[in-house]
Amino acid sequence: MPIYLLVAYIIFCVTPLGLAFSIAARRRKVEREIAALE
Amino acid sequence: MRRKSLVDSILIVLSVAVFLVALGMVFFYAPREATMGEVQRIFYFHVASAWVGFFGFFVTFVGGVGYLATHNCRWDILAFSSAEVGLVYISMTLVTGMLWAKPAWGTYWTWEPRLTISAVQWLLYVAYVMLRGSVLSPEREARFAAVYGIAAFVTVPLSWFAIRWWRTIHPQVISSEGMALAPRMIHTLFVSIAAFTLVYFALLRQRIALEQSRDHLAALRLHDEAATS
Amino acid sequence: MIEVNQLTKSFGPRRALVGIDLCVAPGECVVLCGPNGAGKTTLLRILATLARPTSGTVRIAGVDTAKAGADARMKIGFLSHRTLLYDDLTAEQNLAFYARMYAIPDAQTRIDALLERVELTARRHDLVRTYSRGMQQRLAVARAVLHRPPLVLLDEPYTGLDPLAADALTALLTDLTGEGGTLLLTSHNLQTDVTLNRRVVVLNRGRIVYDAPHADAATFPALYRELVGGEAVSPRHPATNSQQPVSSNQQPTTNNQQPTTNNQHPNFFRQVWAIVAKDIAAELHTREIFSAMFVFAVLALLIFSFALDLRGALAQTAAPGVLWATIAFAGTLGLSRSMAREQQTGGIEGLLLAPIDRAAIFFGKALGNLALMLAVEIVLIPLATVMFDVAFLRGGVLLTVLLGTVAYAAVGTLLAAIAVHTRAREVMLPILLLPLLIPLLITAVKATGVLLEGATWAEIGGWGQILVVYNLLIIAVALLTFGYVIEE
Repeated sequence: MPIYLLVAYIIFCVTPLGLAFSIAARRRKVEREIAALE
Repeated sequence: MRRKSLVDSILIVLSVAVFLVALGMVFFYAPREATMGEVQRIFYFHVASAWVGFFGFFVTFVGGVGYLATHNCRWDILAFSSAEVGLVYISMTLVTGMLWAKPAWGTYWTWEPRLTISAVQWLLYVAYVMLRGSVLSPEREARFAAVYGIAAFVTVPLSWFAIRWWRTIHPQVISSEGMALAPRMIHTLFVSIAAFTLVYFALLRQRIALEQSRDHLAALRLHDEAATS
Repeated sequence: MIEVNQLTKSFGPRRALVGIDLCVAPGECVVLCGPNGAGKTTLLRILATLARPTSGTVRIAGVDTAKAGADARMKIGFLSHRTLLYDDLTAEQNLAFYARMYAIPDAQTRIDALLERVELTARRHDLVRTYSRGMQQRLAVARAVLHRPPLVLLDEPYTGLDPLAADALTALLTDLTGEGGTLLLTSHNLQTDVTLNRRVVVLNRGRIVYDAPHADAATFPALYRELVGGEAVSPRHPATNSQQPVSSNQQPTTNNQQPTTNNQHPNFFRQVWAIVAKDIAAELHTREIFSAMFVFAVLALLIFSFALDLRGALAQTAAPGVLWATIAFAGTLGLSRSMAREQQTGGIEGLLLAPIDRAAIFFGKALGNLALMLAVEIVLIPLATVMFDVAFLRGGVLLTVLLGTVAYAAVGTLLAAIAVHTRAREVMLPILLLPLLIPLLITAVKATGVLLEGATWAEIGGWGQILVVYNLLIIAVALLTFGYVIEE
C-alpha cells in the first residue's frame, strides 16, 4: 500500500521541479543565442 | 528588470517553503484515515494539483479573452504559459489519481467523476497545445488558440455536471465523496492547495519570462536580417 | 476615393508596411510596383478590408474601413489570382450567389450582360470546375465588377492569363476608367503598365519610395532598379500582352453608367439563406460529402456491432451510444470537407469581401452543415432502428437528435474554420472537436437511453437542461469568436 503513496509523492515533488528545470534550460539556451547576436 | 527578479526570487523561495510545510503536514500532521489507511494521504496533493490544473485553464481562458480584446501579445503569452504549466499539473492529477484508484478500488482506472473530468481536461489541454503547434501563421496561432481556450473552458463545467449525473445513474458507482474530513485534514488540504498555487505562479512567471526572451530573440534576428540585407 | 493615412502593418516583429500615405482620386488609375516582399499584396488586402492595419486609417469613398467595413465593401471590387469562385457551382449560380451577397437590384439583367461581356454565355450552365484557367479568370473578373464598384483593386491581374482573357481584362479596365471608376493594380510587369501612362507608385520594403503621375517608358526601368536597389528587372514583351486593341465588338453600352452604387444594404437573413442555398446547390451537384458521410456512418455501425458483439439485450443497451458515436465520427468527415471546399478557390475570401456580417457567414455555414448532417441522420436513424431493433423513431428521441446535431454543427463549424488553417487539417478537426463534444455526447446518449426506456421528454430532467444549456453556450461562444477566426 505505501508504495503507491511513495510513488505519488515522488511524482508530486519531481514533476514541478522537472518543469522548472526544463524552463530554465530552454531559457539559458535562448539567452545564449541572444548574447551571441548582441 | 531587477525589481522583477526580486519578486520572482521571493516567489520561488516562498513556494518551496510552503511546499515543504505542506509535505510535512501531509505526512506528520494530518491524521491517519480510518478506512483507507496511509494511502489516503495522496488525496491532499492530488486535489491540490487538480484545483491548480483547472485554475490554469481559467487563466488560459482569461489570456484568450484578453488577447482577442486587445491584440496585445502579453495576453497570448499568459495563455500559452498557463496552458503548459496547467497541462503538467493535470497530468500529475491523472497519474496520482490512478495511483489512488488502485489501492482504493482495486483498479487503476475507473469512470469516477473526478478522474474522468481530469481526463477530459487533459485532452482539452493537449488539443490546445497541438493546435498551437500546427497553425500556419503565428498571428493566427494566437487568435485560434484564444478561441479554443475560451470554448474549452466553457465546456469544462458542463462536462463536470454531465459526468457526475452520468455516474449517479449506476448504483455500483465508486464515489470519492462522502469522506469525512477532520479539521486537521482540512488544514492540510488548504496548505497543500496554497503550496501548489504558489508553485504554479512561480512556474508561470518563469515560463512567461522564457517566452519573452524568445520574442526578444526573434526581434533581434529580424533586425539583424534587415540590417545585413 | 482612397485616403490612406500613416498606415502600418506588422506581423509580429516583422514590419510589412511602414508609414504609408496615399491618396487616390476618383477616376485615377494607379499601378503599384515593387519587388517581392515589398508589401504590395499586403497593402491591397488592407484596402480591400481583407486585413486590418496595425495602425493608421484607411478611408474608401469617405468611409472609414475600420468603422464601417460593410459600407466600404459595397464600393470595392477585388480581383486576385485566386478566383474566389465555387468549383461545384455553374457560372450562373456563382454570379447569382454574389449578386445576393451584394443585394444587386437588377441581378439577372446584370448577370446576363456580364456573361456576354466576358464571352461566357455559352458555358453559363457548366460547372466552373470544367472551365479552363482563362475562362475562370474571365468569370472572376465578372464577379469582381458585378456590383458596379466605383473602386476596383487588382492583385497581379495579368499573371497566368491567356491572350483572350488578358484582352477581356484590358477592355474591362478601359471601360471602367471610362465610366469614372478608380483602379489600383499591383504589378511586376513594368513595361506594359508603364506605357499606359498611369500613375506609378513604387513600394520597397514596406515604404513608398516613388509616386508620380506617370512614368516615361524609356527611363523608368532604370529608375526602378535604382529605387529598389539592384533587383533584376525583366520587362515583358508588349506583344504578348494587353496592348492589342480589343478585337471583339463589345460596345460598353450594356449597362448604365453608375459611378456610385446605390444598392440597398443587403438583408441579413437573405444572405444567410443565400449561403445555405449555395452550399446545398454545390452538394447537390456532387453529392460527395453526403455519400461519404453516409457510407462512413454505416461502416461505423457495422464495425461497432461486430467489435462489441451487439446482440439481443446488449444491442438495445448499447444502441444510443453506438448511434451517437457514429454521428460524432461521421460528422467530422463532413465538416472538414465542407470547410475545405470553401477554402479551395479562396471562397471564404469572397465572402469576406462582401458587405456581410461575420455572424451571417457563421449562421450560413452552420445551417448548411446542419442540413447536411440532418440529411445523413434521416437515412441513418431508420437504419439503426432496424439494425438494433430499437425504437429510435419517437418524438423525444428525434428532438434529442435534433438538439444534439444543432450543437454539433455550431461548434463544428467554428472549429472547421480553425482547422482549415492548420498543417494537418483532417487530423486536427477531430482532435479539437471531440473533447469539446464530450458533455454533449454524454448528455445525448443518456437522454436517448432514458427516452428509449419509455420516459417522456419532460421526464428526462437534467439531461434536457444540459442539452439546452450546451446549445446556448456553444452558439454564443461561436458567434462571439467566429469573426476573429475567419478574418485574416
